[in-house]
Amino acid sequence: MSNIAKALTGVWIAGVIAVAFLWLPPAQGFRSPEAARIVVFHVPCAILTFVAFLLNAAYSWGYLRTREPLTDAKANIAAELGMLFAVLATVTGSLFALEQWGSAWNWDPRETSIVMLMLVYAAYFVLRGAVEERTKRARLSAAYALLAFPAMVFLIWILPRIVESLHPSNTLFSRSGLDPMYRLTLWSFFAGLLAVFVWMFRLRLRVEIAETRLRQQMSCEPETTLTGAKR
Amino acid sequence: MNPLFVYMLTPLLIWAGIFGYLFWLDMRLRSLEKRGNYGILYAQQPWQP
Repeated sequence: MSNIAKALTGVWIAGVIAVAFLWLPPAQGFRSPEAARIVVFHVPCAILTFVAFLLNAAYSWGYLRTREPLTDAKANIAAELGMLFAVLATVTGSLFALEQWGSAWNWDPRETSIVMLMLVYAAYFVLRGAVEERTKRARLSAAYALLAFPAMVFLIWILPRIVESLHPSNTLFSRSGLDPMYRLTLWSFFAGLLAVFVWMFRLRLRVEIAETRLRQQMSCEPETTLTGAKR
Repeated sequence: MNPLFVYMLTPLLIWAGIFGYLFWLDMRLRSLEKRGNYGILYAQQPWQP
């Protein structure tokens, strides 16, 4: 990402935050209409959680096909970012739940499913941390990620829809759902957050490459680099 | 002052902090990449054997 794109992302998100507070009207039908603005920030975090875990599965599949160490690194980074956005979605959701439902935690199906999701991906990091040999670690964690993927789809898309939930469903796309002004602000924030996601992903990947080169410089052992070339 | 304006300042400040930190990390990493010798990172540590 160029510096101009980064600066635009910074201004865009600051603009959306200002719009969410100064332009959006209080949301009717909520117990705390002013606090409902947090939906604009909460939902994009939840969507990006799904996007990140989807990427994790895609890169894991890619790794098993190509055995490219860079693809394994990308799968790991996607899972890390997925976890970050899952935490952000949970925190912003809890703040809103406190205002709307009177308690920060209600064991609602969506709340329970995101905890289960975080546990599933915490196990992914534990697995990666437990295997020292890099090829074995990459292979095992890719296989685990592919097993975790259907569980993730079930926990995000199916479970909250088959049991009664405090969360509304189909609010993002149906006309009877969210107010159009709220929907526009929400997707604008999502666009900005997606740019931040891409930026963080690339930044983290560069750190991974730098760490690999550093490790090779320190060990002085000829080793396959992340980019595949022999040093 | 409009109370919504006051509430808006918190997320704006949080975002400014995150953005500034990411930008700083990016610039720092770029300068290291240009230098090409990542051993300098290790050499700066006081616990180096």
